[in-house]
Amino acid sequence: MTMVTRMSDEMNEKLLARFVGAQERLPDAEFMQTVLARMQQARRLRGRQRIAMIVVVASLAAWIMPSVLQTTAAVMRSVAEHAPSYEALIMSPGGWAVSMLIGFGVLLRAGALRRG
Amino acid sequence: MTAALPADGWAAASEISMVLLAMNGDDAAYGELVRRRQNAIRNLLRRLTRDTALADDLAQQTFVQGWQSIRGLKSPAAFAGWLRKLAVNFWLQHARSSPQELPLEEDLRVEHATAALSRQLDLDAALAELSRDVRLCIVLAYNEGMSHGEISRLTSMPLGTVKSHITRGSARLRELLHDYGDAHVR
Repeated sequence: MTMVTRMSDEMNEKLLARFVGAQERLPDAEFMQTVLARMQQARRLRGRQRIAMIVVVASLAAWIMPSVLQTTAAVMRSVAEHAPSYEALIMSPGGWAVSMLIGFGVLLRAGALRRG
Repeated sequence: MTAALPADGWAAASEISMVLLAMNGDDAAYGELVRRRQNAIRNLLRRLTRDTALADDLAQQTFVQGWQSIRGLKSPAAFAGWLRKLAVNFWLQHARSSPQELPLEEDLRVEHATAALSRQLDLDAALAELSRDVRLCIVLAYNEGMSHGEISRLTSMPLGTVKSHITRGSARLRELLHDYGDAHVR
């Protein structure tokens, strides 16, 4: 049993020596030049992608802006129409109790009521 | 490119400080990291691919990917391992997309039959006979000096599988190296 272990260790050392022997000192000038060129290429590509993204977002915004503005105006008109009834609801005891509950929930979630 | 240190100051700078500079967008610092690490990464990929051009291409991809994602590195001290993982992932990605490998360049072997080159070609030829996962475990253990646990974490293979791959791979490699004429380089 001991013999097998020793042989195995010997084999590992021999293999290790082969791997160490195969390590080469490689010239780095050309390799570095290519890596730097690829980094430059990646930088240019990233710049182009950013510009394309800005163009797409700006086009989308220009396209949907009219309908967003129309919808917003409609919602604001509707809120203005119903504002008096909302006001009455909030001022009622039920509305007051619901407001307190919401406030308590917010404080609880923010951890403001925790000790220490 | 920005240069926070003069060119002759890089040699004395520690790797951790250079990684920190590179993480903050200093491309000159990253360039110095590439210069220092290129030999290790290229040698690792040469053992895995047995193709010098492909190994250099994968190494270049590794360094470019590293440059693009270095801000996401958790700790500067983990740079070397992180880079090695990127290299292994690039190789695995390549190996999965093109399962067939190039035959050994016999002409090259005859032309440059120096002892060191012959030893390297014999080793690379023997490694090529091993399955992909076994080769990966063997190269990480012997070429990179990684422990079984580290290999398991890097490759996501179970520890038992890694141990078994290394045991069986070592035995097979020994047989193959003997067949390739181990005696003459001893």
